[in-house]
Amino acid sequence: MPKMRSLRYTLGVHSGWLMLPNLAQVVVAVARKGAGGAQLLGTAFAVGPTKFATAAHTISQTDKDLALVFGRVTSLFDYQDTTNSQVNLCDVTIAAFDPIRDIAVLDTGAGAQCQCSYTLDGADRVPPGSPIVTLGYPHANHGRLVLTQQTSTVGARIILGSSGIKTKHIVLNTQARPGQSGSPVFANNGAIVCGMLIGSYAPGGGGGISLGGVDPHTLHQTTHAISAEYIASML
Amino acid sequence: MSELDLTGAHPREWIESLPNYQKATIDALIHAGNDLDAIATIWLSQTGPENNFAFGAASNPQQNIADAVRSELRKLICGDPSYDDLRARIAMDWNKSKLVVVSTIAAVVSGVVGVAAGVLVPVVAVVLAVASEVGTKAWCAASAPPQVQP
Repeated sequence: MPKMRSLRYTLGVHSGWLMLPNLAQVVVAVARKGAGGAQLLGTAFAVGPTKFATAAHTISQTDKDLALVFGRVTSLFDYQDTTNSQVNLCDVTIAAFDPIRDIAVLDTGAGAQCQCSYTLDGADRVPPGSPIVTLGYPHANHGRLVLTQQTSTVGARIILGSSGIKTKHIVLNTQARPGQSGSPVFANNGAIVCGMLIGSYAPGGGGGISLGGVDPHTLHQTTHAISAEYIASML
Repeated sequence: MSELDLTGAHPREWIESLPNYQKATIDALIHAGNDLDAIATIWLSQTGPENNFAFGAASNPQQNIADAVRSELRKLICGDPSYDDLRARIAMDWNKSKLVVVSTIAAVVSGVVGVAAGVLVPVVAVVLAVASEVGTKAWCAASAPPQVQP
């Protein structure tokens, strides 16, 4: 029986630094349950009372055994215990799916309730140089479950092609790693989500060479985030 | 064997029945020069933009299930007995919205091919649009698997 949960968060600005302490409860990891435990797939964030957005590629077209990982920390100010492998899972289903733009919306049903005061906006609101903050789970491919804040700036706004469709994206001046797909990109001191991290630039999509599981083509600070306006259109 | 009766269904009705974001994406794919048949394959095989390295954590990338989905829809449309019950349900729901028909088909086929029904809904709509446009018999003839030469 899933546990009902009410999540709230507040935003604060301290000494000029953007702080998103309580967003830890609305930015969660996506996982798939299996015999050996839960395999982490990526990051998701609340976009409605029971809805979470993530990158479509993280979930591989199926919601079988799909779940969100809740409640590891109540605040980013907490120390996150990497020796604790216990997680609270909430089952989810796919509510909307757009493989062209790499967006999936997951529904918790009655399993979790969230209140979000940020709004979904888009790339139009963040010209190059705008400060942004991402929250996600880097290195989740190794099972690491550490909600991590990265502060950066918008490097460029770009149009990427997908089967002939042109879509607005943001280039973030930061390096991302596997597990961060689905991370929200906050702007305006956390008042808006302007994008969702989906990957990084790699000629041909990468995959040519792997050194210790790392594609050298991804070792740079040209991270891609899709404009959040496309998520809003799916709700 | 009786084929799926698509009489009276305008091809565009299937696309119009979809949620706005899916309809807009399919229209954009058409505008970009893709035909409906190609769009079904694109929907099931592509994820995200070109020249992007996705940062999902799973090591098992999505599999291309377009052929499996097309095969199941062919069974349904072209009268395979394994889908007799579903065709009967569709006949009963025919006068409801087209989205009800599409969603019913997606729910059944998703269980066979192992993907979420929500992922299949636009694919089913696109395939039904093509079959409605050319006629069921012509679509079945054109989509028949190649004969193996002895």
